Amino acid sequence: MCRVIYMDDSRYRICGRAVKLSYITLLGDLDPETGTLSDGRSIRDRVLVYIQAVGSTVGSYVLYALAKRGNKPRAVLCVELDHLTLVGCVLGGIDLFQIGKEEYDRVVEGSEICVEVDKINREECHIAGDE
Amino acid sequence: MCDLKERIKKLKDALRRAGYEDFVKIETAHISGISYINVGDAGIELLRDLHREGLRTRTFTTCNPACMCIEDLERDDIEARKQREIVHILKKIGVSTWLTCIPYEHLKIRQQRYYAWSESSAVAFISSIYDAYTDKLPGPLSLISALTGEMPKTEILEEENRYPRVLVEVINDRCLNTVEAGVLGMIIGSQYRRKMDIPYVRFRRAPFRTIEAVKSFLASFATYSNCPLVIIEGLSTNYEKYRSRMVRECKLSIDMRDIDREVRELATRCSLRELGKRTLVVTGCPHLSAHAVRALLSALGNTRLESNVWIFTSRFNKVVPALSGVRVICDTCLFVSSYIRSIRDLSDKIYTTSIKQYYYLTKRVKDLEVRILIAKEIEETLNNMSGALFLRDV
Repeated sequence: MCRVIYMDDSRYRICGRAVKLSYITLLGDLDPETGTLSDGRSIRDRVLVYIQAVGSTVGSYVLYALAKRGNKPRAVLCVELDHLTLVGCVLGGIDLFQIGKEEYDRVVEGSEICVEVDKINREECHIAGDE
Repeated sequence: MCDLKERIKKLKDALRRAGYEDFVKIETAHISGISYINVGDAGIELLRDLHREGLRTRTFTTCNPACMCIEDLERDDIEARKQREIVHILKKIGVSTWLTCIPYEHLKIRQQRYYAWSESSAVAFISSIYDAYTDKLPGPLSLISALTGEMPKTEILEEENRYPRVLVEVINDRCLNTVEAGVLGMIIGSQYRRKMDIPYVRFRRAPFRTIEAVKSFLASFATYSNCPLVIIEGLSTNYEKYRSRMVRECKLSIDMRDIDREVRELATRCSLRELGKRTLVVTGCPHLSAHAVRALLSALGNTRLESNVWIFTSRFNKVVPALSGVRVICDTCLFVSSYIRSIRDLSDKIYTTSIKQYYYLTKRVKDLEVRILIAKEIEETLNNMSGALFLRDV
């Protein structure tokens, strides 16, 4: 399953190297000044993949600040859609997709992945390797 | 690329795609997370941009405590400057900067009307006591709701989803004091953490002596559970309707021994006079009502205290205490305040009367001992200030 939740423009294909986590605490795990996670991985221009964002409601502001500083990921892919991710991505203009657990499991950290949006039904999409 | 105004419009579509088909017009909004300590520069940046693009609230909107009292905002340090800017922008975009977590004490809350609030204890209070339709929204979503005048109709806002699913029987032989009420909220909340696990609580005797105990119970419940609603027999608006439509899935019995055991574990029982110099006593989480502040100050009278006592309340309830060591602090709350850093200069031990505050302080203050306090002077005052809060006929 892959659904388009928010897109800031009308592209059909967004590709990038995957940065994969299980759960993310946006306030604490993510530094908007540098666009890096607390474990040192950069998310700038990558495809950020996680199950769900948890913790402080301030998390949405962090995504907004990240985008303002030009450090935003190319897209966020999450399994369980939470308000923090949704509000933060929309305000920050970050493309957001909801994926199934199967798609999440198939994503390999560091691999190049693409989200391809259906040209007829723009609410649907699928995940592919970069071909 | 779109501007912020455009994105706020698109948020509605995104919420629809996320499963929220309907949106409802709100009575008021209440925004949490406006302390600079919480939102940092990222939050200020969003507020600046909202203001710059000319966005304004479309409904009456209040907000939670800041990181310092209004008088300290005039200071020239970085935190005061940043917090000043947050408060200034909030005012400019139309927010009534009440800086309190108990806006319901100063508002008329109407049953079955929608409220986009994001302070969990206030959400639990107005939904449980007044049958207001609200949900625990993240701070930024209540902010956006304030700007659009509507909120997504989440599951709990549908009448048929509000029927209780858990019957809780409390076999109490006395009215609960504020600490016991907080412990009861903790027991029920930690047992039923899921959003739709709505408890229907039946007490053997009148449950709470005062409104402060009710606030303590609900704030504590909301700390441990994601559920924003508790139906209290005899006290909640429309409890008869909820009782008749209860979808009973499980039952929990709690007696006074369960509550007493937890209280013994967490709390110290003593008089404020017995506490030494390097002790800080904190009360007012949630903020104390006007009545409680006055009653407490009058009960303390001319008592000679060695410890420091900080009473947190809303600006509408401000009283200047005559007693040295006692402070009535408005517009802020210890957990989101910059004062928390100066506590070490003042004390080695913090006593709080609130289970919610205890939960958060033990997470944030690692090098100081934190205990729950049942102080004779505070409990007697809060329990007797206006007599017992009796049940309606059940």
